[in-house]
Amino acid sequence: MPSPAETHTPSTLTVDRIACTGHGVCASLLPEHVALDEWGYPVVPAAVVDPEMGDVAIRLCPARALAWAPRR
Amino acid sequence: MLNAETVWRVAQIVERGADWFRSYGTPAEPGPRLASVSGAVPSPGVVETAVGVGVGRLIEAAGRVDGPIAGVGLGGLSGGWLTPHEAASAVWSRAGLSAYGLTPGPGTVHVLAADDCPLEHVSDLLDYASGETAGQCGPCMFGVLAVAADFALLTSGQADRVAMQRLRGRLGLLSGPGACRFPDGVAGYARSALRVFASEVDVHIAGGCTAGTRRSTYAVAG
Repeated sequence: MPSPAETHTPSTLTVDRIACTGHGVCASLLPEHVALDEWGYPVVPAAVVDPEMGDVAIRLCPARALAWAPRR
Repeated sequence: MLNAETVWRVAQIVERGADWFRSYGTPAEPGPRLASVSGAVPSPGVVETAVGVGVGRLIEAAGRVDGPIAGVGLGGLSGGWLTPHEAASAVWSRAGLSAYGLTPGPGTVHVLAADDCPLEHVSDLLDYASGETAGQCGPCMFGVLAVAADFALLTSGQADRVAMQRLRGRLGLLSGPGACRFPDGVAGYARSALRVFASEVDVHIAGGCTAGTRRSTYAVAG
């Protein structure tokens, strides 16, 4: 499946809550988009994320829990 | 996995027909239903009923409530609370309970006597919920426990306005982000308790508890 970076279509991120173990890498890489709750788990608003930055965050998530949200 | 009541109802529909089934309940929620009425009623147990019945009448099926009550819990941990006044007029249906953020749900009704501290009761259930988390995601693993701990503080008179603000913030974090809807259900239950028992919350923040001195009278809807 082509990533938004390849298709240049703006998109939003989603978190696999079971896979996520709260490393917080996404919040470090995308401080304007991802906040952490008091237990260190990401709060991801439905905001459009820069495709290249999003791809980097998805690639660097240690738990492989970050992904592009399915298109509607 | 099949729900035992559903399987039983299917057999009844095969035997007696759809018209028989639809002669109970409402067009939106047809069929006879079993409900479990517990707490401050003379004959707690399972009663036969149908959606559309008044909550007061449903409670009356387990006997007439004698004495003041603190509130009526519907749907257990995935539901919430009604004030005695609300319970006297509310209709037991999705439409009738939506204003309170509730549904008939699994069909449990708990009548809480005024002698019991409602916050202690809620706190006990939240403690139970803490043990029920499947431990699959952060909001549930840590959030449900944190909410239960906040309620324990509140019940013991150790919570101040700042602690209550923290609790409300935590309830917000539990809604939506979980891998399943368990934390949402627990947050909804806790929020509903804070609404229905708001005056008791204030009394506890001031270090008191009015259990046993409450004068809420309960009248079954005619």
